[in-house]
Amino acid sequence: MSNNINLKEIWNTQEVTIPNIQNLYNNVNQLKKHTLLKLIGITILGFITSIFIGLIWHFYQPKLITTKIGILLSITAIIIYIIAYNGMLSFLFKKNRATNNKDYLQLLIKLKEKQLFLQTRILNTYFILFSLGISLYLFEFTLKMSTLLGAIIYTITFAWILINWLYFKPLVIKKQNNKIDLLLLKFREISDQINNSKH
Amino acid sequence: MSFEDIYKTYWQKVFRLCMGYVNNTDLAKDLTQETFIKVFQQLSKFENKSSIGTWIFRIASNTCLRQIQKENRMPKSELPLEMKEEIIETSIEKELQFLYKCISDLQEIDRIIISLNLEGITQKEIAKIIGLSEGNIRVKIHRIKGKLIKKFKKNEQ
Repeated sequence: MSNNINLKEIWNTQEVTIPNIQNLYNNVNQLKKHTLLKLIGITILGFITSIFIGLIWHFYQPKLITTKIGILLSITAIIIYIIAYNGMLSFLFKKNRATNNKDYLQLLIKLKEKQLFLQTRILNTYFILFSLGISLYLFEFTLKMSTLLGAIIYTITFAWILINWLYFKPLVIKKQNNKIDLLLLKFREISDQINNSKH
Repeated sequence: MSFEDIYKTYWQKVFRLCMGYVNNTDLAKDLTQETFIKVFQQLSKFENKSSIGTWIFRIASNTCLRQIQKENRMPKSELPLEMKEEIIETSIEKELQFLYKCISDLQEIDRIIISLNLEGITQKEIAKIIGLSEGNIRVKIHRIKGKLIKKFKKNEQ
């Protein structure tokens, strides 16, 4: 193909100033700082939440075990949510290393599928734990109220849980999954380009 | 080879590969930068199983492949100031622009294959980077070049 040289020549005309290497080092440091700050932020947030719940425990001195379980469940739910949504899950995925584009795409597809599964799971767990936690937590306080007031409080709480469960949860899951579905679709499509060229 | 030597030797080459994949100067620069950050972070783990070039191009092509999920990572506004200043508009010749345009019309994997080929990487190395046999790569390069030349000829008329 005599035109080969031509294409190569055109290709090689692309000249661009190489950015100063110091920029790259700055960027690496910035990324490191960013990760560290995020980690510190998450820790502080988790710490404040725990102290807040601990104070409630201390001042209200819950007598019933249900209240204590309720508090613990709520903290667990919040912690799971914070960890999952601050990208900490990505640590799970960092070890993998692919040898070529074909394996890399397979890895990306697997990771996205895993993420899809985990995201839905985590959000479900969060909602179940938090709803259960709040319901149990309220129990001791409603016991001290009149039956009517207790019934009203529980009705409102359950209605709120129901709205969350039936409306907000599917909405959030759908939004998150749509994004991953789109990426999955694209990765599968590119992966097929490789697989279909084998003969 | 020190990282600085690698950076000087391969920056232009990696940039051209990224440019072939995305056909967008700013995005290609971002992808090149991201590739070299990975090279910098993983250089100590590089085992001389393959040539350093193959290793770098593999990281670069993998970075290109996952660029669709890049939207939220390292947006331009977060880049250090001096970096933004250095992104000077590149004057691209018309022919080169047309070549990029034709390559960007190809499927993703074909874009990587032809960019690596035009960069002078051997078919054996390209086969290693992509994960296909040398025979497959040979056929593909032949077909892609045929397509590109046809478009060039049509453009000349």
